[in-house]
Amino acid sequence: MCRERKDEPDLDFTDEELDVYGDFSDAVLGGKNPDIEEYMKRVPGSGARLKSLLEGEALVSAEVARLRAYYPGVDLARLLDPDWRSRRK
Amino acid sequence: MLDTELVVGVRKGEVDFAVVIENFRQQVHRWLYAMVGPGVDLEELTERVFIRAYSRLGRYDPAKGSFGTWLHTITHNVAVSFLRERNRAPESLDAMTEDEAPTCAGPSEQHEAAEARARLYQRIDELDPRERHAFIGRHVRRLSWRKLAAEMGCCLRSAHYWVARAIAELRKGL
Repeated sequence: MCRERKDEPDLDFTDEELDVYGDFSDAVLGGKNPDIEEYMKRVPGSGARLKSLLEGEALVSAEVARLRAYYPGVDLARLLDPDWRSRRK
Repeated sequence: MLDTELVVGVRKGEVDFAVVIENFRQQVHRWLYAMVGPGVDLEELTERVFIRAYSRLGRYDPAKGSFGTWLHTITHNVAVSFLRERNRAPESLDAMTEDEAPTCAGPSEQHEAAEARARLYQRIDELDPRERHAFIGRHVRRLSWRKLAAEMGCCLRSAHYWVARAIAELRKGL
C-alpha cells in the first residue's frame, strides 16, 4: 500500500474496502445501478463505513450527472476545480 | 468571519464590501470562466456580478440560504445575459430570480437545485487538494483508475483511497 494514511479512523478504509469501492465506482460510472448490499457481502463485518461510502459514491455521481446536464458543453473540471489552471501549467 | 456575518457587517457599514469581493472573487471568476468560456473579459463580467450583488444586498435573506448560493445565482444570470448578448446562450441556461430567495427554502425546484450546486461547489473547494484532484479526475474527467493513479503518481489502491476520502467528505453536504 503506497497511500498515506491520515489520523481519521472513520476514513481509514481497509484495503478490502477500497477494492470493493473501486469496483462499485466502476459500475456506477459505467451507467449501471449496482446493488450496494451485494458489494458489501464481499467485506463481511465492514458495516456502516463501507455502506456510507458506497451510498456516497452513488449520491455524488448523481449530483455530478445533474451538473453535467445543467451545463451542457461546459468543461466541469474548470468549473469545479480551483486548481485547474495551476494543474495545466 | 462567516459569510453571513460578513454580509450583515457590510449592511451595517462595519465591513467594507471589498472584503466580500476579496473572499469571493476567485470563485466568481471560475464560475464565469466555465460558463462563458475563454476569450472573454472576465474582469468586466466579475465587476458586473459584484455591482449587482452590492446594489441588491438588502434583498439577500440569510434565513433562506447561503450567501454563496445567492451570489452564484447572480453570477449565473450575468453569464446568461452576456451569452444572450452574444446570441449564443444555450437554451438550458435560463436566468434565475435572485430577488425571490434563490434558496433551498423556496418552492421552486430550480432554487433547490441551485442550492445543491452551491453546496457541492463549496464542499469541493474545501477538499484537501489531493482529494480534490482525485475526485475531479475520477468523477468529472471520468478517468479510469489506472489513468488517475498514473496522473497522481500513486498506486491503484491509493487512487481509490483519495477518491473515497473525497466522496466521504462530499457526502456530508448532500
